[in-house]
Amino acid sequence: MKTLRLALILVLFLGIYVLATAAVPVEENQSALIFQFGRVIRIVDQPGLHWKLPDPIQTRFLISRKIKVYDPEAREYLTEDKKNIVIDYFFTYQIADPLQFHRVLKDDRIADVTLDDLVNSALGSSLGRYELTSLINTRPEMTRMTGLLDEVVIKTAAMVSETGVKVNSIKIKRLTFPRENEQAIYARMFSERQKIATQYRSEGMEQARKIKAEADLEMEKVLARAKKEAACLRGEADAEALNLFAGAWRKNPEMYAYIRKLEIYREVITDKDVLVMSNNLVGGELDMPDVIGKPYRSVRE
Amino acid sequence: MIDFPKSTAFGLVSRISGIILIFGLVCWILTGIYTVDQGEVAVLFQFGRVVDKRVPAGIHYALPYPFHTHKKVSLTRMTTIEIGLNDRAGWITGDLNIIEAALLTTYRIRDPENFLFSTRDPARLVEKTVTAALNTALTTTPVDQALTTGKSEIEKRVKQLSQDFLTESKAGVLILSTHLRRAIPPEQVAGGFKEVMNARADKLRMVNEAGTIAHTKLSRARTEGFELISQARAQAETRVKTAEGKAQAIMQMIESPEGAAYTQRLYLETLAAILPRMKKIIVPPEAEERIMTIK
Repeated sequence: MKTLRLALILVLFLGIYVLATAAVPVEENQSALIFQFGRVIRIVDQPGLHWKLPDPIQTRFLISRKIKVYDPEAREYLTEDKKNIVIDYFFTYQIADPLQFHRVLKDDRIADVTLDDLVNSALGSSLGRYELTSLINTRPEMTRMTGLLDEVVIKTAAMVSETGVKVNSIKIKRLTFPRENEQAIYARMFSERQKIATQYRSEGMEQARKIKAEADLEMEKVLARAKKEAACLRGEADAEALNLFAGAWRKNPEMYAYIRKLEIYREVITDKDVLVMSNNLVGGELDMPDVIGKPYRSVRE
Repeated sequence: MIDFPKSTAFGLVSRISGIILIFGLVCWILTGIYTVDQGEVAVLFQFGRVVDKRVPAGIHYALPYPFHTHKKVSLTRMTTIEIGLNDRAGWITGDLNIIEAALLTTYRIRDPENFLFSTRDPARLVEKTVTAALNTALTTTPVDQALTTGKSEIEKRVKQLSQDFLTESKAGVLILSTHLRRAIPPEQVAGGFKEVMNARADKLRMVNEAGTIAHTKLSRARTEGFELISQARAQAETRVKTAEGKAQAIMQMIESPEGAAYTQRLYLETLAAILPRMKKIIVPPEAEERIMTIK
């Protein structure tokens, strides 16, 4: 009775052990390698529940096929035009061939370091063929950074094809200058700023002068136009005035001339004029209108 | 008969263990109950295989472990990433200047399945991707724009570049916003940048001042011109009106039947007006011939 119960418990535990080690649950984007005495006999790529013989006859090894990010420390590189730059990049990769990956690299950490070595050297050699201004430029269409990174991806991919790993992309997180170059760059930036400041000021001066000169010109034009118009108005008035006298003149030219002459005397003669006249005028027995034809003399002192 | 009590004891033990077993079983079955909060979705697995991609909010039942498992993700919770906020390390602009920049980015999960299974560490990937996008945007932007007017352009590009790469990587993430929190020149050259700002203000001031002067001059000239014309018009008016009056007066004299008498009177009045103000020199008739006459 006691041994029977012991046997029952043993069978139960054995059953649980067999079930637990024979079941292979595989997640999405995961692969399971099934080993039989250390040799791979099957690869499971589909998610779900799979079965194998229990341990230790068959063992399993799970490998994630998810994209992995590796971000090493920043390193210094040299461009074609011998400029030192510091690049902090990261790259993403995933395991495309789990069996090959297990054979060659086995471990994620080994994969990280191995891939990084390859990416680093590929990036170094590619950078050596690009000038700094073709990587950093104010016109996005001029930068060949994307091309360079694609080139590095292709180069690395070719080198890692045996490892079952697929390098997806390489991105530059930060591109800077080495610390020892910074002072020189600050000095350059400062002098550039001063140049720009001077330029702004001289531009301001130039524009201000131009505006003033244009205003002066415009002012002259306005005044000239006004003067011309004023002269025109006066001329028109003169002509009109003359025209008004024309009627009277036509009717009796002698009398008109006589009346106008009298008017002119009144206007022209001032207290500074001297009248020289013959003494037979003084008598007062003169026929008055005749006097106009008589000798007159007006002398300005 | 002697065994009887023993057997009842055994029966009791087996009954108690049976109850415990059944209780345990019920509890285990009940662990299959789970809830999904508002704004969350759950992904349901059967031995690691997805059987339901989007279990909506509410209370649900699935088979207990290890048959069914689930993972919950929030589609509404926003995660914020800060880049460059705490380090003063420089970024390079497209024209090889160094600036300090800090960026805030928020994102949320868009596709739970991709978020869970495409990348090993989506949050880390998002952060690095956004950093790289900021680097790309800055290395193609001139320093003046990066510090002033180009900020929103940079934000837009960072968002676009990040989202493109995350979509390509099937990260299942949606970038909600990018905000360039800080973009300033490094302390060492801050004075230079300030000087440029001052110079720009000076330029504007000079141009404005010139504009004001020009405006004043012009309006003064216009006023002067207007005055000239007005004066001329007034003079012309007077001239014409006076002429009209005189012409009329002369006409009346000429047309009048006593015209001669008028002229005589006019002559006398003229003499009366002009003679008193003049100096007079009277010469004898013998000298008359020697005086030049004017007609």
